[in-house]
Amino acid sequence: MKHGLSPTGFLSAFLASAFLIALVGCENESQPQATPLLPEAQHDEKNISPYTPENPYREVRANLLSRTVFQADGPKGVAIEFRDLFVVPGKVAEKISLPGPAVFEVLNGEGKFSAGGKSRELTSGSSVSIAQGEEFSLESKGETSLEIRARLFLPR
Amino acid sequence: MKPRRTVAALLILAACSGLQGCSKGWPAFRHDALRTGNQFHKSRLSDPTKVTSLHIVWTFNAPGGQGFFASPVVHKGKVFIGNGNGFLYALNADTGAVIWQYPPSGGQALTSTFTCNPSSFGIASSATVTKIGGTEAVIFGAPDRSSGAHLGDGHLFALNAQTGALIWESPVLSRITGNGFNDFHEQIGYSSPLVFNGHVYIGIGDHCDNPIQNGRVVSVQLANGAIDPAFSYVSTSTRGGGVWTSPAALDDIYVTTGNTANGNATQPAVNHGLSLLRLDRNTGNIVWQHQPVPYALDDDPDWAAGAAVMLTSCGTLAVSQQKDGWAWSVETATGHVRWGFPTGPWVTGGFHTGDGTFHGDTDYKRPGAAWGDVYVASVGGLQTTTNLSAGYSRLHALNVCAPENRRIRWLKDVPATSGGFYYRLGPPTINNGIVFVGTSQGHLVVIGDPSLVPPVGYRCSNPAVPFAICQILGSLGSVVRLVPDPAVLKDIDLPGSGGFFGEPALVGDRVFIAGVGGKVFMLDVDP
Repeated sequence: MKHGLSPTGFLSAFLASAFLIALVGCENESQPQATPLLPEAQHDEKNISPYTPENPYREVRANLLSRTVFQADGPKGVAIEFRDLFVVPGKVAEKISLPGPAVFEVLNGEGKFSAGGKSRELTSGSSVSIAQGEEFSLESKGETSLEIRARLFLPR
Repeated sequence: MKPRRTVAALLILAACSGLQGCSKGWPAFRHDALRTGNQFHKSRLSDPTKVTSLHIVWTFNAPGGQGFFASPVVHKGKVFIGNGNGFLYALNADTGAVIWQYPPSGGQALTSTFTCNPSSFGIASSATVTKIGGTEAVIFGAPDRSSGAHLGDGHLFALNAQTGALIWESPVLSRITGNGFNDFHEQIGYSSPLVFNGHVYIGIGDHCDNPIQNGRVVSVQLANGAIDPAFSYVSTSTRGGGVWTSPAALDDIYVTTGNTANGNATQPAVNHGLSLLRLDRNTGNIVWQHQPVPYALDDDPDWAAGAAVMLTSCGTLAVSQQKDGWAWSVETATGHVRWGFPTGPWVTGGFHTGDGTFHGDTDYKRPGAAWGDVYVASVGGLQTTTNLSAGYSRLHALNVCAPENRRIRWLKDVPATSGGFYYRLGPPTINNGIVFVGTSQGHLVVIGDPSLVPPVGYRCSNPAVPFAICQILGSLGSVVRLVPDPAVLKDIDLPGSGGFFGEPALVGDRVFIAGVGGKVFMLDVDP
């Protein structure tokens, strides 16, 4: 196999460079340039940013994070709580139950919901309900986290 | 394409790229026809040790209360900027003194009678500097009550950059015929003219959704302002798809469009709304279209930020974001979607009813800045589906060529004096890795890419996930991982600015930025 540019190819490459110089400006930008990725954080990274989330998740079970995003009084005898659940990408969360009946809506990711010996596939936008105190498990599939908004109806 | 045709096309394009190309100035909105917001030339602004001395040298106060919603362009010692009061000013870049204004004193201000948001009062279109027959010229869009129904039809104006004398005024490009539902009330508004291919291209839309107008792109001859009848782009068969952003160009024209649902009972038969499009530079024909949000989910997530055309190590990409917080990268040659951010099933098939995503009138409206393989913008990020508004005060730097789990280069919550829901960022600009951004609270904030300045630390790419858990997830290869929190090199309060809607123009060692309170600021660094 021959390597190198033919005269026509060379001319094309030269003119392409000239074009890019003319269009985007400047000699040091005459060719597309890679911007190297930044080094990754160390495994034991100690340099922590002063940024603090206003309402961070906390780990409530293995591979399962949770945070409350909204609480209000509901109809008589009921309080309403919106709780976000975050399942670690590619992991099965340890089983958990909730203190009230809830409707889950998948906000992000895909995975599986299992309760009472039955399973259901979850994708973004799908919803499922769970009874008060019933144990369930969540599994995240793929590279992204499974994020669910649980709308709980809590007895007061 | 055959080699000879390729060569010919390159020659034509090189010839047509004109003055905007290699400029140490800032001759156009987002600096150049690619709309990168990138100043290539190094200066003290790109020196992290020098930029910390940035300070105000002069301010210019425009009369009237409408403020600056256009951004300054700077060329050969002059600053050109239009104000909501209907006048375009040429200022001495050294002193801020007015060299000329257009219309001259006593002339009819270029304002509209059909007003709603700040795009519609006077001149919101950032100017472009070019050459017309050897004369340096300033081109901008504005309403003009002297034509049609005298309500403020939109025209392009070309002025002599030295004197402010009118070279040409285009025919009516956007029509205002009245206040009724079926009247025209089109506007040029924020769209900044693109000089390319011997023509000037401008977007036409509506800025108040009352109801929306049919989006168009119009091309006029650079030489004389005459409309080119060979070029035609219309977004829909009824109304919608307004082009209220600024066209970009490389080989062809790249535009983004607004919503279609507002004002249409059913989807128009032809619907190029909510799209990122490549248009043939000569005809306006659509080469490809990326329309991830279908009509059924159209709750007004305009592509409010025009596209940036990025010449990257992984090819040439058109990158932008919609108001709904999602960013998209499309290969310019093919229209193939390289990535959507945040990622999900929608990257391959678009969004669909019942997928749980929301596409509304949220506030990710400002164009991003491109630097090599890095795109810096205000986008929804990994909280787009869970806490959409959280990203309004945050800049994401995205590695456009990286694998998905390295997409986020860094994250910065830009300092706010008081924070709050209505804290917003203007369009960022960049100079060799140093990012400049104005805030709605009147600050200019300078941020250093961590390749140049050590970050203040690491934080999680999903801001709601605590550090320790994020560290574990990152080690598993997740998109949720630790990323640098870059250093703020300068946070300077610009008194009386009223906040910033427009971009900082980076010229030599100077920054020019204009506020909605009606002031232009020039800042410089110490020698």
